[in-house]
Amino acid sequence: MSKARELAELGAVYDSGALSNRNLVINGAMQISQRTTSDSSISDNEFVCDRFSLRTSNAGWYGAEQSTDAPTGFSHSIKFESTGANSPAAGAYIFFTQKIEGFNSAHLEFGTSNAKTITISFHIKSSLTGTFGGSVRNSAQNRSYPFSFTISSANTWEYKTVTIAGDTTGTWIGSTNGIGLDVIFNLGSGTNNQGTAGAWAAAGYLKPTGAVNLVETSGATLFFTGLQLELGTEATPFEHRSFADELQRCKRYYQRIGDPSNTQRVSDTFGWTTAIILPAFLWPVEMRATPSFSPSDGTGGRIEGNVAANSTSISSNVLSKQGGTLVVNTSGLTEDNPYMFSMAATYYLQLDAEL
Amino acid sequence: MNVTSAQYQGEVILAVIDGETLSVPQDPNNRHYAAILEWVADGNTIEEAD
Repeated sequence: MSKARELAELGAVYDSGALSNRNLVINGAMQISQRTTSDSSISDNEFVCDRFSLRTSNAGWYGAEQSTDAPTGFSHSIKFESTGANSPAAGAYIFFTQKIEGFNSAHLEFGTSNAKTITISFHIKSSLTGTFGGSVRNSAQNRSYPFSFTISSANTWEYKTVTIAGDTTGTWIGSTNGIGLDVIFNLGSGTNNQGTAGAWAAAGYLKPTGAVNLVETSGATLFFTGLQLELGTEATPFEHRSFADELQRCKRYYQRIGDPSNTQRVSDTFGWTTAIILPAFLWPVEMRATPSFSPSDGTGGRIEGNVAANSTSISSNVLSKQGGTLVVNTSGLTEDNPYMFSMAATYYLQLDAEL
Repeated sequence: MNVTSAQYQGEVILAVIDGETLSVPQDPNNRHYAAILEWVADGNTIEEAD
């Protein structure tokens, strides 16, 4: 690209008001995987790389993993692999998506006459070639823009861009913690979920008509990384944020408390009864909404004081965006006696406030 | 999401969703609580606390 061209594109980006924090996508470089790095049989609503929800009406039709196969300038991608040669029913939904929070997309002004143009860019590699696609969808799933792109060479990283004029109609969530917009990439959705590419539709389409379905070819693979969604008509170079910055952003939606290598003493408390302690926590990062809580198991908690005992079960009875109180069950405690709550290595508490 | 049971516990609901036991807050912006509300709309009942 010539310097003159680069300057012209920079000018266009500046006019759009997005020289920094351009990328509305979190973890677009697939570096963060707090939950797991691999699952060979995906069920609906699973996550491998943070913030990318793996959706499927047909559990087990594909696997996913965080991969180190990546294009120049990237260290990771997410890999999908079809587990069979399956034919999706008309109503099937099989795709991966990132839901962008309304607070982060309100400035796009979708649903108004001031709706802004957006550009989506990404790197992709597949064992299949042909016309692939996805869509941009609103939270009510009654407005969508199916888009298509071509993979020309098998097993070769390719860079794609899609520019979309903002939707001037429909209802789009503005500045709230709900779903601002949903960026979707198809893996095998059925014909009921497809629409004409390159146009807004009053439906919640997941893909353009005729797009390749990965799940129809046994062993077919698709690698994906470098997803950027930005305001404006130009695809700028991927905005690499620091690992720490990206992790903090992910933790607004999901976070784990626990050290996989060391025992952690995490809270001082006292015997609420002879069988319960109620350790209180402040989450490391305030969450998008009040999170759901679950422990990795019920018995990895440790209570230490005038006795030392393992927990028999752990739940919560008070949760907020900023913290919560656990209900740790055991036996043999002394009421009102001080106790320390600790967690064994590999044990963790998980908080989920995903969109 | 597949909700199979739900019971109040303090301010939250102890629920089994997709085979996992979760403490779910009564926050309409929480996706698990939204799933529980759909489950209730289908005719199911959240059990009272013990």
